[in-house]
Amino acid sequence: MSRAAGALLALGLLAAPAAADELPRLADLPTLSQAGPKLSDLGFKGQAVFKSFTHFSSTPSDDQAVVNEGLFQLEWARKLGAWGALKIVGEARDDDFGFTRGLHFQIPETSKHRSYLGLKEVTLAAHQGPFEVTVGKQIFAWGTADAFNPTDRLNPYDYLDPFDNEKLGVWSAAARVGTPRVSLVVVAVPFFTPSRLPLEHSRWTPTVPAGFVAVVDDPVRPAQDADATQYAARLKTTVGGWDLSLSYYDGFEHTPVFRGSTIGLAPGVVLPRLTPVYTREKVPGADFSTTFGRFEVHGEAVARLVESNGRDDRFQGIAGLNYTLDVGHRWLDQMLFVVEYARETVLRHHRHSDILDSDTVPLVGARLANNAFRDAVVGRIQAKLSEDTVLKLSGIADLAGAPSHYLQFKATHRVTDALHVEAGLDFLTGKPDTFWGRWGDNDRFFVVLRYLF
Amino acid sequence: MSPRVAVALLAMVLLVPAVAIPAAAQSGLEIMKRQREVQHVRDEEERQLLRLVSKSGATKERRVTRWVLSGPGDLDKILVRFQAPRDVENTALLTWEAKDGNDDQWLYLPSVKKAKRIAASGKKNRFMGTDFAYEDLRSEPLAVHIYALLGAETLDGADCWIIDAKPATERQAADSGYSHRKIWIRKDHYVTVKREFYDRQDRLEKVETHRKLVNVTGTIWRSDELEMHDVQNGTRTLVTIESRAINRGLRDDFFSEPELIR
Repeated sequence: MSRAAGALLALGLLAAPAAADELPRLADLPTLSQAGPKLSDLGFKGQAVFKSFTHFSSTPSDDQAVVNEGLFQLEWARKLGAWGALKIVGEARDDDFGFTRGLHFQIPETSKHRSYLGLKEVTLAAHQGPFEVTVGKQIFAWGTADAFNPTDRLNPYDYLDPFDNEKLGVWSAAARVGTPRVSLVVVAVPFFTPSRLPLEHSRWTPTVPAGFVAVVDDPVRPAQDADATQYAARLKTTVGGWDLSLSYYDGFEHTPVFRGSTIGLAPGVVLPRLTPVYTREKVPGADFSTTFGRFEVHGEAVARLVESNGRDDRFQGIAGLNYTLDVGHRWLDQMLFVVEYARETVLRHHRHSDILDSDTVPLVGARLANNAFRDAVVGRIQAKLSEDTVLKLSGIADLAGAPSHYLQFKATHRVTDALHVEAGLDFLTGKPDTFWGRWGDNDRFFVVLRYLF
Repeated sequence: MSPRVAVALLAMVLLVPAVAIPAAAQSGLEIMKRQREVQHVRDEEERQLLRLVSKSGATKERRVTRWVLSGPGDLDKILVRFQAPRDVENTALLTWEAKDGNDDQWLYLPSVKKAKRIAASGKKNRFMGTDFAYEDLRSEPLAVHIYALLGAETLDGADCWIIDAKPATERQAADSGYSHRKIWIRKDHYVTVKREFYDRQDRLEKVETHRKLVNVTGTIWRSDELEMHDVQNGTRTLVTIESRAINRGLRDDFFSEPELIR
């Protein structure tokens, strides 16, 4: 769900362009891992992944029902003496929709498409006692919530398929210091990397209703100079069974908002003009997690204070709980229940801002909205049938305006330690001008095969 | 009597009480406390090969490294990290034991690059597909159990005490998956060689057997092989200690979130 939830952000942003007792004793058992040399002995490991998505309907912009993707990922890691380590994760990928095109190596990555070959992560780490410095193309994960982490702002996402999104690494330097109860991490990201948004001909780019005509510019990205540097810090402590964090981010939102203006095409003919731009903001935040018996309770909240290219200062928060029930039955080992509530409110409206309110554009409704957690309830029920088989039912209800919903059923099974299979269904309901309803034609079945080595 | 023999006898007289107190002189709790004293180390690292054997005899392997640091009040900090197989590699569990049994626990999942606090209610849940529950892997929580000395028995030629351990508090009874456990402790070395686990209906659920006892140093004994047999399900988990190091000066900050996610 978290992937799908994160996806929310992306969306239609660029919609407008076109809109037994006798068992053997220990010593008698063979050691499986003794069978020959392995790639892992050389520091290599990886995975091969095949994904297939079958959509039940066509959309005005996309009639390709089945989309297949392939990914081959290879990781090489090596310790550099007692002081450090190097890790490189490279990948090769392709698909039959057009997500992947060309061979490009960019710092930062700004291509609309994925590259056939790419570097997902590169990290050089040096540590001495409680201190550690890492540099390279890194992925960070902050926050305590399940569905959505408002404090986790450093990495952009690949939203080409918003419901199967993934984090993109950012070239960055991070310094960490840790004691048993307190840790501090400070991060600097010198380049701005935007999130990768759905392609124009994709079913994930919402269809704009007839009657809405506008000129949409190419996105205006921040200049790659010193002013584009982004900073973040997180101070975390554990006190009396509570994990408490304070965080701060000074940087860009990775998905664009629209600056509204007009353009005169001819005398007396004026059209709305939408220019995608990126909000610079300061984001102080906090999160917590603790347990009460069988319940894990968590929450996180931020204030998103606009520096430039923003319409409103906003509060975003999410809180919830996890409950684990150990069943211990032969056919049902464990149940996990997760419930969260997310809320966004406007703290201050910037009066003279020319940025559109993407939640309520006339004629368009919430089709261009980029946040599913304005007023949302999130739920997940997970049944662990065995160590190898898990069933999961996840849902998000967007209650801001007319209700809309996202529901996912997913089954995962470990065929062997190396081969995993995953299959499920995505359902989206709601009116076409609601957050989830805009993708009402995108219900689908998916299957993922993953081979790890 | 030669001087050499006299010295030897004197040494026996002086030393024997220190390690082999007569059973009648000790209660179950005293034996457990004495065991903790005798087997106590400041820190310990073990590389373990776990073989999970199904009822049909099919075998899966797991490799883990387990670090333990003793803290004030004999409360341990424990970090367990998987090395294999590939799909759980680098998954790690950090536990800070609490006196009331309400431990702090964090699980690191490499796929999301995040350490999450987890509720201690999962104690009775099986650990990563093994026959060990989380509560089987923590050190013996003396404060929340009642220990009764049931008697003595010879096991594999060694005299052992048999001690029955029952939850002492309602909270512990609710959190634990067991109504009680029987523990066999060798009288000579104060080392546990067998445990029986009884479910909430008082039926025998699991039997843990320790083999290949080795004297690590001084009074410290450990088993190099361990088997947990789930007699109800017919599964077994066999543990082989591939390497062990004790008292190498592990730092407290090793048992922290930054290390967990490293």
